[in-house]
Amino acid sequence: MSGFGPTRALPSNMSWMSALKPIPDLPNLWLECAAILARRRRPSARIAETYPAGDRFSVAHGPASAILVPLLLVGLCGDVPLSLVVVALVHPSHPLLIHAVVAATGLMGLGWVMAVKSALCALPHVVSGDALWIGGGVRLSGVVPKAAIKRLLVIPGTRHEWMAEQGVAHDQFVLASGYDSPNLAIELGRRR
Amino acid sequence: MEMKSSRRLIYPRRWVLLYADKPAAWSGAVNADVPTVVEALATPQAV
Repeated sequence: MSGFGPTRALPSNMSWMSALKPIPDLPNLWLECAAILARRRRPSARIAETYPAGDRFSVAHGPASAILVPLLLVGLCGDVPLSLVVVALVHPSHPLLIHAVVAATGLMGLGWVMAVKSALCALPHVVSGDALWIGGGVRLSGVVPKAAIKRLLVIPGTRHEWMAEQGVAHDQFVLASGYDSPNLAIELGRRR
Repeated sequence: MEMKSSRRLIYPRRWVLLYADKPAAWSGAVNADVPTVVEALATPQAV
């Protein structure tokens, strides 16, 4: 992805956008997985180098993302008896094909979550001198000028409880967390 | 490799919801500057 500013011509009242920073890329998770297997430099590591220096806030140890890989490993263990049952009941003439398809499906899932975990570890949120660089590398990337941050709220419970409590509608927020439930809400607007 | 992605404004959406391992540590990091603009950009990608 290239560079600065939007790709279309800007209305005059949006000329401020040309001064915004380049938005960091998101890693392609399949390429991330391939790089892990080949022991090559990971796309997320390249993207992490584009993030500025500043306060770094890890996103890799959330309640959901922490169990992604073990969850898939347990699921793979379940695939073995499933594969045997499918072969026995449906396709006794092609046992290797069925075993291979079931194994490949499970391994693709495992590769995907390994890539997700790798991206989460490589790309923390970074608060630089003048902006918040959204990390995680799974759902979206972005740069929010610190000056645009009106306030921060910790979300103590679920997102839906918090939205009901604050009166936030579904079209009033952007969800930037990947698999973990968000626990931080950033309000954009002018501070008084 | 160039990624296919689109850019869109977060603003006028009012809230950005994200996960962080230690959310309580954030307030000191972001409340330092005087506001001048209210816009932000993001690159969406479906999970």
